Amino acid sequence: MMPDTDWADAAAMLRAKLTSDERGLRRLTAQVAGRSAADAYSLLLTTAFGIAVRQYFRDRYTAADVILLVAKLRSDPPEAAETIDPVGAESVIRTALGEPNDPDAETDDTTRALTEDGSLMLVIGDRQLTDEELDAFIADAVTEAGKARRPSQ
Amino acid sequence: VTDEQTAALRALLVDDMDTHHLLFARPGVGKAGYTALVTAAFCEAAERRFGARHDAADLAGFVADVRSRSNRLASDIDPLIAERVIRAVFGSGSVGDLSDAVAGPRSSCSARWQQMSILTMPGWTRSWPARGSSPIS
Repeated sequence: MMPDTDWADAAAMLRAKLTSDERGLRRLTAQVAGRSAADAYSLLLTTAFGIAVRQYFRDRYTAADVILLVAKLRSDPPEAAETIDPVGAESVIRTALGEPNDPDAETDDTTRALTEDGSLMLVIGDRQLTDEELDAFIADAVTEAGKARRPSQ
Repeated sequence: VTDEQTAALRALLVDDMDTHHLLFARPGVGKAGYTALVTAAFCEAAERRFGARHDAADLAGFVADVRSRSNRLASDIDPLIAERVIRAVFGSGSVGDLSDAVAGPRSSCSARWQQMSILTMPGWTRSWPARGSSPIS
């Protein structure tokens, strides 16, 4: 189990990220460097991404919907089109939506990280959440992440 | 380029696949000439669609649009290969290594198949400037 303080730090980092508070995120990141809070933040990001895309598609989506979300992800900044592998990104999103992992997708770590990160920001940014809604979203993510276990744990 | 090859391409572009297959299957239709014609049509179409000013995001968005039209296109078109094939029209990169079937877990499609799949996309011609209704007009 991760200490509650780690989750609190991770939640603060996620909030800073989702509100585009880059200075705050840098400060918090420096504070938790090398601590298990950094692991907690990584897990929280992945969990928040999963919740965000599930809420975005609301259990009704087609292959086209996922393709178009990835296209949006790769369109800004333009360099993203060259960094994010579209098939890998689609696989990351479909897996988060509960589909079986596609072994043929061969998702690289960069694509995985940028897909999780970028989709989370896109989807949450589009929703224009109030402070209370954002807090509730982060709290849900912390709860779900707390239930998850990493292989090393 | 023969009239038959041109007719085969026209049939392809208007999604008259029965006529396309019929013409393409005729003996002596000249597969090499037809292949060159498809490539030329693809280049012309890409130039009309994107013009001189475009970036990687424009190509990625276009290929995603094509793939989102149907599950068949989504699985038939490898987006990275399709983007490469279009970029090559503008002199960026090469598709020389795609001239034969692309072996690999993702796709058994060739660059040619990517070109044909994109060319036959419904609505491909709608965004063209008024130079003609198709790249072979």
